[in-house]
Amino acid sequence: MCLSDAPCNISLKILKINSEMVTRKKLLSMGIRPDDSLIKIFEMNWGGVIVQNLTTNSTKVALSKSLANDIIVDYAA
Amino acid sequence: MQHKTIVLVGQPNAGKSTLFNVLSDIKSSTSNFAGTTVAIKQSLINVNFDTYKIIDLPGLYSLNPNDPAEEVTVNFLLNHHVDLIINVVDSTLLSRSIELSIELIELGIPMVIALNMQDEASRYGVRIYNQKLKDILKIPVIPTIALFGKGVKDLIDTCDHVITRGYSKPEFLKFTLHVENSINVIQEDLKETQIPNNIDSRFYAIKLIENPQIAFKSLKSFDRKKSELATQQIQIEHNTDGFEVIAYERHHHAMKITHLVSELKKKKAQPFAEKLDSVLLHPLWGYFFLLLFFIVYFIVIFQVGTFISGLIEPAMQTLPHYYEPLKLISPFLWYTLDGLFQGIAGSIGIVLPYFLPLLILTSLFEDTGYMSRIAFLLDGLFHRIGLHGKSVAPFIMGFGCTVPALYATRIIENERDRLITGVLINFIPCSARLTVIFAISSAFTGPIWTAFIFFFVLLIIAINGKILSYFFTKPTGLILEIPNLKLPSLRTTFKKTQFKVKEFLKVAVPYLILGSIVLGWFEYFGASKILNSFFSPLVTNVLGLPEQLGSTLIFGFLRKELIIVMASQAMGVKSFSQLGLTTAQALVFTIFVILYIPCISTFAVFWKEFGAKTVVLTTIFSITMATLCGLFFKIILNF
Repeated sequence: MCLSDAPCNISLKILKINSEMVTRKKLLSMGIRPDDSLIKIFEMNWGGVIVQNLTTNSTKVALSKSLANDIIVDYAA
Repeated sequence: MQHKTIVLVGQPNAGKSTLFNVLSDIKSSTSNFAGTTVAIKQSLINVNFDTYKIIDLPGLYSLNPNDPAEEVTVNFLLNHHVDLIINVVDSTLLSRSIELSIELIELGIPMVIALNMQDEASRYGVRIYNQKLKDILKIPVIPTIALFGKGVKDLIDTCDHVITRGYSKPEFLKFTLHVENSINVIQEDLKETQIPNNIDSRFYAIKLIENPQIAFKSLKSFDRKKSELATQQIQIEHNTDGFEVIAYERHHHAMKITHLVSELKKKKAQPFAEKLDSVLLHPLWGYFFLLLFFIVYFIVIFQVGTFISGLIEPAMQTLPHYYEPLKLISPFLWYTLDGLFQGIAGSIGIVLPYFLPLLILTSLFEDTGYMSRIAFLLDGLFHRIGLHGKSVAPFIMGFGCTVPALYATRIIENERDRLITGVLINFIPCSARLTVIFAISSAFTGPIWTAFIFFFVLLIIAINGKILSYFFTKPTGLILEIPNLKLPSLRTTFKKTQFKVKEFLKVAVPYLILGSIVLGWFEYFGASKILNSFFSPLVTNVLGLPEQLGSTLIFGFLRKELIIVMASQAMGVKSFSQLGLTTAQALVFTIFVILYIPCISTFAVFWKEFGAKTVVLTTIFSITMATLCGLFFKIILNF
């Protein structure tokens, strides 16, 4: 499922990022990368989300709806 | 004399500018928002009889720049001789910060780590073993709390020690064997190439794998074909781009190091900041508090400004009768003195009373970290006008001053979004324009019209954004760091306000006084009449305003506040409230002044950042918009 469809406050694992290379680079440098676990903390009605990387215990990152659609996640084991 | 250079490098919001402020005598802008520093700032500091040049560079997440501000830092590091890097690390984000530290070590430049915000880390239950980190990275690690100046003396003594007594290069962290083999092959090929400055060839060998464009910019004589084979080999083995391979390896190292040098003690109960976040970012309550915030923000500025102005201005206006007799004896001297007096009275009695609460409130608000939350909340709305939430930060800075707001557009990665944001910022009422709004509303219309004007300007920005976005492709998505909420420091707020008031008195007030004197001379020589006649078709016929206000528009190009300082002078009255404007005229005048043209400083920076063509087109666009809006209000209000 994509990050937009995932529920809030449940540990998720990033499987793939489908964005173009420039965006992927930016996401990587901000700590959003495949294989890491994250949690979706907030979701707005218009689709924007705030996530936090649980693997690195990193800061919160806001993503717009289009980017949240490009991040494929699954429930973390 | 050539001074040794120390640069501050770190991820956004790690506290570089706060540290720079403590180290230097320059007060650089700081806030709890990623990307506050977008240009290079430098100062000289004395340490143990040596003088060093210290440079504050814009924050960056990695040495693979994603936006113009990050490019500034990378270009500086690669194209200047740097004697020492102070890597400012946010202790609360150790793992992510160490990824950048590893990359900086690859440069081969002497480095010291300032492990900043230790107090914040312990608040979040994180304990860091500094000595272990030092042993692993083989570089000095100094714990600091830059906000309170803690550890700064130790840090600067260590820097002095490293520079003066020599330095052994840190051990480069090894990648997996096959990546190392490729790095070694490229490093061999680089032996015949001249590496600029004191950068290690290993850095360029790695960059040729992960981001060749960066390397080719510096290594102009290097034959690209030489590195291609080794890079392709990595891509084939990993079935992914070289950039991702290197990024994963660094990430893995950083995670391992973080695991070794830190421990997360039993996490304390959910900090208050996180509880507050659940309200501020709530899909419904978040917008309610945002609206409430803006209402309180403007009411406080309006009320405090009106109160202070009410205390100062009437008292000052009793003074002109002391030089009144000069009007008959020496009219030229009287016009000069009156210009001087009106300039001082306008600056102190009208402008400063509104400017001061605006500065204090903005500073308090910037330090809390709420700005990025506003950016997120407004992202959906901004998408509707063809932008995204990252434009919010420059927009909000624009309420202070348009010049830093234009520089702040450098944090926007996409050139299209940056251009639209830059054009729209010119319509944001800066502190000078806000002062015009507050002063005119206070004298003629009242606070409800202030809010109305403010929301009308926002509507104009939205319409213009929509118009501009038709000419460009779709905006990119928002990726924005949301820093932890913090209590603002009263000391920092006081210092920032003090610095900005000093700057206002030093830079703006002389303009206001000089402009006022020149207007006095214009009136003495009758030049005002010529200017007023020239502008009369616009001012009188189109906007329906008194002809005398025409000449003030010219001076408004120098400083917006000049308009209110000079309006009473031009109309020949002693107090601003005696201008005799009707409510409709006051509104038309305010709307026109806010929108018609940016000030000369904005003009220059806009030219520098976006080019002459954009400046000319934007100026024509804004004058047209101001005229149409003014005309619209004249028709509606006189209907």
